[in-house]
Amino acid sequence: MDVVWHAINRELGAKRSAGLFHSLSGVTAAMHALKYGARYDALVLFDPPVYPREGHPVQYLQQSDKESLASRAARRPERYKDPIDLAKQFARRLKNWVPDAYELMARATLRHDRAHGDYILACPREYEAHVFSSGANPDLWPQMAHCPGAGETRLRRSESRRSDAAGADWPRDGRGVGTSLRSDSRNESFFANRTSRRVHSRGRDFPSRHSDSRRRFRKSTFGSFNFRRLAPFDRFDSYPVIQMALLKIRKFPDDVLKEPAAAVKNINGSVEGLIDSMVQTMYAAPGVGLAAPQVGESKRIIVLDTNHDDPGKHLLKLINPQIVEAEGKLSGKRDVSR
Amino acid sequence: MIDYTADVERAARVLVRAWTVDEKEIEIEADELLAVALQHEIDHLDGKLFIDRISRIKRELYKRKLKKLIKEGKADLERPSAVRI
Repeated sequence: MDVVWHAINRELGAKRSAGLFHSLSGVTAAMHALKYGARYDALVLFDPPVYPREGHPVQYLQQSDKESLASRAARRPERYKDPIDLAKQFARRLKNWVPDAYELMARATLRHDRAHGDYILACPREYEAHVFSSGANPDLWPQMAHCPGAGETRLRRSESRRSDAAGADWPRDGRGVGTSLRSDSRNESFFANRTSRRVHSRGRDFPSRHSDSRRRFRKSTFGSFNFRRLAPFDRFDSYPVIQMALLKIRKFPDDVLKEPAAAVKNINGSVEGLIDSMVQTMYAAPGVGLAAPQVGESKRIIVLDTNHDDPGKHLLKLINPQIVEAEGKLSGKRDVSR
Repeated sequence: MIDYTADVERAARVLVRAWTVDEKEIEIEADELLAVALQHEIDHLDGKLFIDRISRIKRELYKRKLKKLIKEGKADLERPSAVRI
């Protein structure tokens, strides 16, 4: 990693630079930054299999991936006659890539072995498995905040097709941690990733196409975990593959409902995690709206969706909402609570 | 299920200012159900419950109904259930 960075500097001269890394290379880049300090002005990590810190709402789900990613890497076939064979394998598993990406990925993954006349994994599978299991170190994420020269650490999300298409604030299929490197870069850059939801590549495909494999995955991963409280998966066919744990809805006369909630000062990972869980909890209830105190968090956050026929299209996720104007009177309107 | 319906007076239209998750400030003009929902949820943030907005007689009625349901085992405070507006 450091060799690459020095080579870039040698070729292009000292310039502001951003490192963009995907998947496992994102973990490597994070480890590199921790070892050598912030080499790049910005690090953008797509989908690196790192794990949320202690106490994060999705932490216990994420913990379940590490073995699966590492053992999957260790089981990979090592040799291929032709990169096309690997590309076909990708195509079978990953349905949402643009057509050329399969071959490109296969060629990037393999190197030609002249002695044997075939192709071999450029990164030995044992090494890949090792990086996955060391990347699964739950300390890697929080450590990024202490990376020499790093700014704040925060969550960023990735875009989803659905949100582009509908132009709506749909819960996007990714989330991540970000830290801006080099304090002098004034936060214009950030290190972003999507914490893997287990075998992260599958999450990119619409889960509806994978309902069977999802069911099998859920069973193998969570065993007897009670999913009955979750809304039917098919209603959320653009939802992340893994549904987050539902939060317990507090009801009258719970004390948390009686105290004024505190304003949110900055939107960090735990706030985004809370909001995502609230959205899931609201749809599963089902409810038109949910306020954070209703799930025991005394924070000024509300989520609303008045139209459940098309979940997500009218979804509102509001932080520190204030009524600035109000007019007219509606009386005799239904106002049901529990 | 602990359902209770009450007539609560609400503004017909509201303008709400808030932050989005992307740290942008937005304003939402709402009427009908969304306006009611926004007022209801924002009340929650102020620690106000709809029972604070109804008359004392109705409040007592609600409490009694809730107590009865719990006694009959039809309601359970510990169990998550729907929140409707």
